[in-house]
Amino acid sequence: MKKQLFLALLIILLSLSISMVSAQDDVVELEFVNWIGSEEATAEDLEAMLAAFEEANPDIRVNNVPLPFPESGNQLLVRSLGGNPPDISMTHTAWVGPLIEAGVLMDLTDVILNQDDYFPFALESGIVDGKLNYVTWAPSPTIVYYNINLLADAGYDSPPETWAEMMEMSEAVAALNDDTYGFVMETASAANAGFYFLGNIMSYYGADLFDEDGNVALDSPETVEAYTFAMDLFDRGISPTGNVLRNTRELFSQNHAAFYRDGEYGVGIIEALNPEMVFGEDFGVILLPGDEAGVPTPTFYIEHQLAIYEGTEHVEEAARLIDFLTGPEGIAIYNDFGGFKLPVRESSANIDFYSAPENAFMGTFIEAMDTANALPGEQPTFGALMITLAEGLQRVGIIGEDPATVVPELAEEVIDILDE
Amino acid sequence: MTTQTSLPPKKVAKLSSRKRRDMIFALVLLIPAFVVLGVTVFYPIIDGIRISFLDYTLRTRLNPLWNEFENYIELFQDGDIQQYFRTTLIYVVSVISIEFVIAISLALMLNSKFVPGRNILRGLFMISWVIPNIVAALLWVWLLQPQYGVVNYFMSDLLGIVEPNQNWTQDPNLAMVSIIIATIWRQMPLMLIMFLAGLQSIPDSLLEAARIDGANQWNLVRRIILPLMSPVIATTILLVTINNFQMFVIPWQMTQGGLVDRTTTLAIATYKEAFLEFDSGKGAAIGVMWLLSLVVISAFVNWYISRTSWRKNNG
Repeated sequence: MKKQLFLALLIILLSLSISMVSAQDDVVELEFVNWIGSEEATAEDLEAMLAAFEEANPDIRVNNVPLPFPESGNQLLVRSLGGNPPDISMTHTAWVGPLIEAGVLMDLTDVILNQDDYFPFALESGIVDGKLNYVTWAPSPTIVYYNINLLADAGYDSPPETWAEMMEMSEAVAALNDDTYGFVMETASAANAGFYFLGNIMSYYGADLFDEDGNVALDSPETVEAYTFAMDLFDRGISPTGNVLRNTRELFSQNHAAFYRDGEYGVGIIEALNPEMVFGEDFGVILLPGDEAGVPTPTFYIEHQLAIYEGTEHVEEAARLIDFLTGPEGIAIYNDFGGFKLPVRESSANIDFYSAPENAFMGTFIEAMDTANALPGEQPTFGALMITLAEGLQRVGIIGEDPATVVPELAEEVIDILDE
Repeated sequence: MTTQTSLPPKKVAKLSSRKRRDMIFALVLLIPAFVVLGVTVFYPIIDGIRISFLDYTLRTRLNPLWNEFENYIELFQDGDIQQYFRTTLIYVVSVISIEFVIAISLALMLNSKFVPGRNILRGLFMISWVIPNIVAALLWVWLLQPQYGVVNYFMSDLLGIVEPNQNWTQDPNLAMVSIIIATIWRQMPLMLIMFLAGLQSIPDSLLEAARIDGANQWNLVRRIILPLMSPVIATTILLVTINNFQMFVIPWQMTQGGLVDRTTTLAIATYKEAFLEFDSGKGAAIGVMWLLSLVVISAFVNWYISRTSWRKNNG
């Protein structure tokens, strides 16, 4: 009797475990590499988004693999070249180029769901040689943050409407004392110092890295003007030299800088750096001014992107995850947690978050997207190119070299880097 | 009278076969270590040397072609390798020489019985050694920060000996100095502890005898302490040289090789070529030059150590 009972129990247990295993077999596991899961400010957002996705898609389980942002690009490249790519990952303008060049990203042209719902830029910036390498998840146009307190100290009660006004105010704020600056720029040997210069200052002067045919166009009178402007700014103490973006944000948040440039996430960062700084009361945002009031200078945007990898067996499931994250439900969760992300789809733009009065500032960023340009992030050596531009700033701003001599040399360096 | 003993031929054969078996057993035990070393050290080095002769970029990686020493030719033609080597030498020699003077002075002080609380001081001096390089670098970035840094607060606001908001890590003359200071601060305890160990091995009786013969403190250091410590000094310098030739984290974190390549050491140059410009061939070529220079310098220091020991052993 005991033996029979034991056997019956054994059979039940076996059949239970077999059914559990087969049930697990029905669930596809997607490996999703990202950096927002490694950052305290956004880890919770991501967990909530993935939980909602899994609830809506019970046949998919997402294996969330967070990597720190500075290591993400190289780690993804190395593991993909080693034949062990993830199914899907976040990518970024600053380092997606090498992944495209290495051919490890899948062509998403026929993979992305609901393509009609996407704003054109979200499906266009990832196209290289006819292949769609990624879709934009969250674009971040760079606009100008102004410090209401410092402008008031210098006698101004409203933000500038033109470039000339911004420079006049900058000069006035810098003259307040030794520790205050006007329009602050970064010069450290970092890619973002280069692309802020390219996307804003060179843009104002009509200079560019490449011409319409893709040839290097750096060696131009407009670029010399842009570097001369920067040199003047440093020489007159309107901007300090040697800053990385982190230093600039600190200066601004401690009421030591009148203007700096940042994406929409800057609002949260400034308030976190100095809880006494309140958006709307102590600081605000404007579009990068132009020569005429109401006609802004075209700025640039960087992107958080989503890419699927060659070799994945779960293309359809990965496409569903992208659809969810870029769609209204995903973006609503992201924003509810304070992520301040811009929509890339028509349906996502209609969520309540964007029409709420307390989020009115997001309108300035949405407006900036009208004229914002994508950066040449598809270049595999994008990082090196941007550091070259930043080194140009060091040469004119710190070493004091003549911009007219520096610019042709920078252009040669750019050509060398591209040749390699 | 001498007694000659010889083992019978049978026993000799037995011994030699046991010896052979022991040898085989020892080799079998060593195999895992050799495999691990081969896979993690020798294979990457050999592959690195191979890649340094190829046109090996992201685009060409699947079919890299021999490029007729182009990577090396470019490095020498542009003068890049000479500049990186010079920068590395300035960095390594400055760090070692300054560190040596500080460490030997502190070691002599901490070895003296007349210094109160020397055990506590020894512990305190070790603090920076337990801090990881990355943390030490970030700490110094903050200390040297132009607007809020403690260094500028003391040197500019309080003492007025440097300009307000002095930018240490982005100044053409001070960027390297900043890195050297941070490295010395981080590494000095290693030298200190080695020198302390060396000092403690010198017999007191020897120093006492020299004092009785009329030697003053300077003569004691010059004629007895330093010569007796020379093997320790040489070994320590070899270790610190290798350590600093390989140093990447502190310079990279503090200046990323700037200002305009003025702090680009061989380690940083290799990284930039391989992971910013994605030219692995040229990156590997810099790596090979880096390896060769390290081998030459290590060989020189080793030769110096053996020469010193030979002299000591032969009076």
